[in-house]
Amino acid sequence: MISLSREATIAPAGFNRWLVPPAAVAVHMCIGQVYAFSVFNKPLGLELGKDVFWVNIAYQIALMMLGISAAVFGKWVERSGPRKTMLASCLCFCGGLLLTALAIKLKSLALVWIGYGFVGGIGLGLGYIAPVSTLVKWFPDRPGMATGMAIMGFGGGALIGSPLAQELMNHYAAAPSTGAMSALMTMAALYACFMLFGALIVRVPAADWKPAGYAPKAAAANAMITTASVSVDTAWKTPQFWLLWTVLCMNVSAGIGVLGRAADMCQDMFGVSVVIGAGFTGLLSIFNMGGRFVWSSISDLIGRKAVYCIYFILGAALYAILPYTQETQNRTLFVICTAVIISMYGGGFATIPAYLKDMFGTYQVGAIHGRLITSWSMAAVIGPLLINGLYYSRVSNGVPKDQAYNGTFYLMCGLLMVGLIANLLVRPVDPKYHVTEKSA
Amino acid sequence: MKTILIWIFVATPLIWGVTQSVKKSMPLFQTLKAVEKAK
Repeated sequence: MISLSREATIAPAGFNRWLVPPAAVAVHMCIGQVYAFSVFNKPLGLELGKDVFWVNIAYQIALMMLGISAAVFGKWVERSGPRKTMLASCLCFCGGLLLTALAIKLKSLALVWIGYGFVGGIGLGLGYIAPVSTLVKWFPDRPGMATGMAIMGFGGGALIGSPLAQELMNHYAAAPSTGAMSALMTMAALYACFMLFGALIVRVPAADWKPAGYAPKAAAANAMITTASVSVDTAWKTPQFWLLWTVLCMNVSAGIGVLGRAADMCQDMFGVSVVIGAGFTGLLSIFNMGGRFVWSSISDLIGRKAVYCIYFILGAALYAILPYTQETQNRTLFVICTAVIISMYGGGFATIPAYLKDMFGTYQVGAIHGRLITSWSMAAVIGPLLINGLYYSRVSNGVPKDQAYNGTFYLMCGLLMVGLIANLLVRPVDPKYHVTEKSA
Repeated sequence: MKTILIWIFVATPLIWGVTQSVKKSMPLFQTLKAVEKAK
């Protein structure tokens, strides 16, 4: 019988810490399937006899629930440990997929919203923050790289989820069925295997464990890396929390500017075919995934604040170049610029847990991360609203479609500048917020 | 050995996913190459 308690997952002496990142990646690459939900839009619409617009609401509910559940259950996650949380995430996420399959059988759109959106969304939030705290404790010397690996798995989830669903639906399709129901059930089984595997192999380090040769940096040596701790209930009352909330929100909003409309943008600006537009989206997905690992690893070398300055300054500069690529029809330069922008969008997600660890310590960093990613939910709403609103208003004002994006690019520059200011204002947390032995 | 096997188990789906995306991106690369040649 495998115990789920946190105590039962404490690693024995001599445990290889490199066994922990695969556990995190196994969970994240499954829940990252949410990015590929759109592949089910049309099949679910056909099966349920509803417009795609209504089906896609399940995706929006799922993203909203990701933020809410991560914020609400953060303290429970810290108390319960990664194994119990990963199991709960598996039950919710795979249960959500099964409920969606049942919704097809019962022809119930509401069940898709409840199943994939609500139940599955809770699984996303739990799974997303489950390994964060554990990874930064195992890798105090390289927290950026460690959390970057897990969050890279989330980015990779879309790369797996979309072709996998497509292959399965092609396999199961038999008129009039689209094969979506069987595909969802198969995916639930496959994802459950990987998520349970992750839950099985994950371990937390003993309280006094340190990597060989590692000495925590004294606060005096690098003021931006604390050796103290701040509790989750105190952290969100500090200016640092809200500055980092703004940093993530602006970085994500700006990234969504390209990612959300990538295929259309490529077609409108350069007059290329739908197939090439889809290819462009595929390429961006790879950079989104790779950027998560590369940039967060770089942050271990140059510091979190410096790497976010690069995201914002370089990102704004690249956005400012995009209108020029359209004027000169320089497709290669356009692809390079957007690929780098998207790599930094992914990097922003992956670097934030380590930034939180630097500011608030490891004590409840997973729960703090849970509360911070509400900024992602916010960005997922305001980003597309701003971008689509500006784009369509320019088109309706007679701006040619190929030039209509230029205004949105400058808007993205503005968002990135707001993020830069917030990042520059980040200072070490006032010691009055630190956890004392008495309060802990 | 155990660590390597576990990494391979987890990395395989990711590598498959990346391969699928690269395949999807091939028309884009071909177009870029053709444009460069035409210059």
